[in-house]
Amino acid sequence: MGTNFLIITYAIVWLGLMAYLGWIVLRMRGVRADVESARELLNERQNERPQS
Amino acid sequence: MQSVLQDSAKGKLADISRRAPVIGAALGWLGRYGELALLALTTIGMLLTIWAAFIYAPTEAVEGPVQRIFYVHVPLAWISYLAFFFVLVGSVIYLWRRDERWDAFARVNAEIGTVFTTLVLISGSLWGRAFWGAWWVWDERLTTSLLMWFIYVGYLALRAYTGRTAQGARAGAVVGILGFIVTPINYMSVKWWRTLHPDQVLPLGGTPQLPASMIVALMISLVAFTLLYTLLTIEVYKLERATAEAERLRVDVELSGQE
Repeated sequence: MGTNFLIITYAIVWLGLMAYLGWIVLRMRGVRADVESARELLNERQNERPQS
Repeated sequence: MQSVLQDSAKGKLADISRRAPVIGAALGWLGRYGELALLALTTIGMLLTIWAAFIYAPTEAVEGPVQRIFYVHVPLAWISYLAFFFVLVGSVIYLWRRDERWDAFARVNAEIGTVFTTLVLISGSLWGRAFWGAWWVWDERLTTSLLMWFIYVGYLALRAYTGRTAQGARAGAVVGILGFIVTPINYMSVKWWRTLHPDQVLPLGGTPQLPASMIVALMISLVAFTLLYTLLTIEVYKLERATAEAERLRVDVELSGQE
């Protein structure tokens, strides 16, 4: 009985920490993609300005 | 978006692109390879924790195998206290110096502290079910732990609602300072009240109440979890910086479209 709770606890703690790390990586990827697209858009607008 | 634009126009949008005094120094010192080394050390530490908790440490006579939950439960709680203390430090310095990097440092620690407190509550509840026969009791330690969790979930909700504005940072700093009051009460609750929760195993200024082998196993786990906390703080702070940069660039795009 006690061993079951022990194993479940360690599994939940480690899976929880792994899930949190995974969530950080996913958020970082999303933000980096946002930064890249915003930079590209800004560069496009800055390049358009001298011609107008 | 409008409030962000207004704040940006007034120069109030969080600028954490410069390195934070604490994390920045660590990042500069560590570099890319340093972070990989920290990841490797954390992984080794976690493997050692499993070895120490399951093989090295003896089985406790009264509780049996379920006592081994202690080797993750206590380090998780230690990191929660540490993270919430840094929320207090970041909040105080932010209000004093109005440096957004300290606000970001506080927010990063609130997030990590909340994740660790969630795991403290879950691991404690499982231990309680195995040893007490109840998932939850309204004991002073458990109740103040839950209160602490609600305070920092509230802090994160407030920060998400107010966005990266000076007003949100000020409100967050006030909650970060006042919210910390519960943390020392939670730590001392087992001394101040007659609680069901076991007493402090490493009392401040006192003698440890455990055999040497259990103390060694706990120390291995504490070091491993502290390394993990350091790694998480660096990564989430980098995420904060990148998010702030993305928001600033979006504002620049909006403003360039209005010209």
